Amino acid sequence: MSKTSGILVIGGGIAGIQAALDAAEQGVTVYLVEREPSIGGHMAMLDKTFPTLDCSACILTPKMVEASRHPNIKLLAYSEVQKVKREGKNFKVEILKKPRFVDESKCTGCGVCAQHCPVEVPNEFDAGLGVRKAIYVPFPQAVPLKYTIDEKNCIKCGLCNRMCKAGSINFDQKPETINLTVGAIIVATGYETFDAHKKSEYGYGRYPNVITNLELERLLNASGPTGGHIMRLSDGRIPRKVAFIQCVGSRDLHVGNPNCSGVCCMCAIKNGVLLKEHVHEIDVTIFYMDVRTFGKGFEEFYQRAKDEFGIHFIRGRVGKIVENPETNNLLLRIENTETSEVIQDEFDMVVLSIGVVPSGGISEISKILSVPTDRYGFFEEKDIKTNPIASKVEGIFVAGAALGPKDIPDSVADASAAAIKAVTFLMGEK
Amino acid sequence: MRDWTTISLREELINEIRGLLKTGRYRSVSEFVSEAIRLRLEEVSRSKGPATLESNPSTLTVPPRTEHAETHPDIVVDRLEQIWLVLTRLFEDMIQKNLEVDIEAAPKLRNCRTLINFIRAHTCPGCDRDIVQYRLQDLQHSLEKIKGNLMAAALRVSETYAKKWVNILDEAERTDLQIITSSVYTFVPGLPKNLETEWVRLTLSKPIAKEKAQEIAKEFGVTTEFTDDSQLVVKGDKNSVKKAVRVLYQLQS
Repeated sequence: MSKTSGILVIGGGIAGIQAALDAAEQGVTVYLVEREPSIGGHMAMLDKTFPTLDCSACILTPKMVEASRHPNIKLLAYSEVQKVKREGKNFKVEILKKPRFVDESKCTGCGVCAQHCPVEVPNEFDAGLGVRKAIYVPFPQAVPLKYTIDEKNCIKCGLCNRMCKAGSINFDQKPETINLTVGAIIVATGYETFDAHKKSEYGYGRYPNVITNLELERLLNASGPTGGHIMRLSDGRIPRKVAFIQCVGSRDLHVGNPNCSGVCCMCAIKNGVLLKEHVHEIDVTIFYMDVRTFGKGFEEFYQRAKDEFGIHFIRGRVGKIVENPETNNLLLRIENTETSEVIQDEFDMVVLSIGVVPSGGISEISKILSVPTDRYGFFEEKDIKTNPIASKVEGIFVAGAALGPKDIPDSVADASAAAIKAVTFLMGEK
Repeated sequence: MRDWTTISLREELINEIRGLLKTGRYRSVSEFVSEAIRLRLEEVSRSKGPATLESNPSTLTVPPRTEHAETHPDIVVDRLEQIWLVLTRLFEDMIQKNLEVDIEAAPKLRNCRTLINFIRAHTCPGCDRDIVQYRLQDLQHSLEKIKGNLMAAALRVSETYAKKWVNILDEAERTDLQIITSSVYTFVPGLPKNLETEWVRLTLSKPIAKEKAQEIAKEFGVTTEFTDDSQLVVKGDKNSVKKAVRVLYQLQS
């Protein structure tokens, strides 16, 4: 497969999708490459967005569907960029399309295979809280809706093959190499969340009722593993008293991340409000260093959370969490730095507001593209003030959280800017 | 702070709820009632049509229940899903019979499934109804095209074969085939959530002896735990888990 022009977009999260749509609307052929089986990225995992509490899926899924049906967008999901070589003014790109072991020309997406698969493993899309089968689509609204056999966990029992009446299972499928020539590249590889295990004092991984904000998003989500029912992971009971601990892995030199993640304060406030909406009697306390509500409507939302929903805000850093082994409740000791009072309190559930860190794929893509990263591990802008979308390499643009912590509107704005920059660059080159 | 109010419920209902409290899922009657009300409100908001009372006050005086229900996206998509399912079955039947089928049929059917899932997810009050209507039309047109192609292929087989499927499609279009698209909640309290801990839950079609399972677990250096008679969780090193699961599965045959 060989092409002569177009734009390559690496990453199928909200920034990548938006960049692809905007560039495609200009009449340019766009190759949207996503390493996971479906596009959507982190935003597909979220429940509601702040400060309007709009449903995340309601904003994202129309864009996902549009990207998959746009005549100028070639969607290459479950694929990875292997090599990029500059050739004149173009880039020669080698993409590896991973085998799904499902014949795409026969699979209708009926899902009978997954219903009968006997193997269940933690679903990455549900942050490990729910299960999926060894043959799966990550979530019902996945785009493209192509079933994939997870080779790592498949025991080759052949049940899916026997159940699929269309005969779409093909264990002999091999990885496929796709060669493209493009004139510009947009990198939108997104972010990863901080590994909460690194803050061992909070007991994440040891205490079942210590969860991360991303896990809470999945619990709150009506299409999540609990159908939107809030429950403790240890016993499935509805928590009555929940604490949020802010800046876990952000603004923390001990873990090498001095940056503010930018979104965690609003995420915690939003999730606190959603918890209150789900269970009115719930008592929510947010332990913070500073509350940073810098966007439009953010401060009003914060005030509403305090005054209307009765969420408690206490300034102070939680030193350690101790679990009561009988009840699985969590004991927190903290100094309120506003009153100098030492507080000790027991909670049913603790939510760690984990920070935004560079995606694991950034270093790899950085090497492939020869685009440098900054000292934090995010891509480096050509000029942080006057040209924040362009990378240090001509013809390569970066959008969204690949540049640093960003919320959804900023990522979308970046993506649209990158698309226009890339299209303009292509036109200039022609 | 929000105000609270008291509501009255019949004693029998309260007793039923109290019975549920013993399961540990709820801690109080009010907790149960709050959740029940929230879920019902969600359900009601989902079943509201695109037209609101403000925009069409006549809905108050002339309840257009049937008409309204027929045009509501949820109802339309249910109907279209039935047609999609029949077309999928027709496609599978033709593949099994080695008949010549349009090679684009499967991707087109998959695209329709995407649209069905998209429309189903787009039911909250804040959703853009225009997008839903647009995608519903898109879905209808796509299904019509697939139907046309598949029926043309069916006619090439025989008139009887084509008629049989026309009848099934008619039934799907006119009657309720009772396709239940229930959500499956996949959370299991107590299962390890850590993605780094290797575990697999295996569903067995035939029961196996616990002693035999433990023997295999020992052989592969993994642990097994029966969650019920037909499901067991295998934990341990990644490669060992996979090998043990394979052997445990083969025990059934």
